[in-house]
Amino acid sequence: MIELYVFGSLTSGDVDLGSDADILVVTDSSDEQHNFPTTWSVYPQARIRDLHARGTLFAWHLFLDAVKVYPRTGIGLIGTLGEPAPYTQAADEIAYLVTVGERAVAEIAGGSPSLVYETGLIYLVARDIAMAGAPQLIGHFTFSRNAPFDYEEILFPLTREEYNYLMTCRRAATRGFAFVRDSSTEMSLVAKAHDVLRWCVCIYGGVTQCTGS
Amino acid sequence: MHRFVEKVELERQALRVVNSSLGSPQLHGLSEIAIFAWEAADRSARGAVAKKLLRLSALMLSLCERSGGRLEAEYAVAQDEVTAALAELSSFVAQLTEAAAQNTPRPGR
Repeated sequence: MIELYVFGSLTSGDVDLGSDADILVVTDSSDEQHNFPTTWSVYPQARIRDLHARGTLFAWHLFLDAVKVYPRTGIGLIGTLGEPAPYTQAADEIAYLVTVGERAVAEIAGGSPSLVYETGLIYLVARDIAMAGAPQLIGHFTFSRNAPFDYEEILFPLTREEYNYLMTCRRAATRGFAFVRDSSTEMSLVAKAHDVLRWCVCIYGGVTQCTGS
Repeated sequence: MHRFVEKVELERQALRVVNSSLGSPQLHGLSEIAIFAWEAADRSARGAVAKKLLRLSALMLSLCERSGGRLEAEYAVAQDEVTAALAELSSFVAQLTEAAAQNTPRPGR
């Protein structure tokens, strides 16, 4: 018996031309990933229960956004579990993401032959840090891909156009998204990569001040 | 979570091998669809490398599937397979580059 949920842009309405469908499959047992498309998230029930008990960001994302589409009756596991444990891992997760960002920025500064891949990673880092810091610094969860722009007191250093370019780079890396490269935007992003990193560190500072970690 | 960094490093190494030697357009990622997009730019020249990349991509997917807290031994085997596939890719691309250099007419000849 499986349950199918949709979440992400499909349920938040945050849809654009490059949006994909985030599908969660909850299975009875482990090791069933190979039965489903590789782009779907496949989790055994036990793993969902564990994430819920630990109050992970993903558990909160599912709790707040996921809509069950199969079976069409009943509230399903996520509904049954209810509110996850408090999310307390923001500082650790942001610190970890900062190291990923530092590495990508170092690669860019060193003239990486894979600029699109590295800039796409910066998108991932900035977005996920913004999501992780939101409960403490904005006062509510946000799972929007534009989450960095929700911070009014720690302003994100890129324009929307530059940020969208980063996002397109990530989509090219993960989904083969075709796009025309723009050297002037790329030069501007290379120049601002350290500013994005500083912003990430500021979010970390804000979260650790809030939590006293 | 540290396994995400490991995955990124492996992807980075593979992309470096390809993008340093085989010119533009760049390979942007190791997802199947990104590899197809890269191959489509010059199917005859890139087909053989794309095959090796697709194998590496499949092995990395399998590595990720084994990172859910299951048997460490199983994970280590998958890790070895990825490392071997990466080395094979690297050596194959080096051979291609060398062959292309030998076939390039030199100035004055």
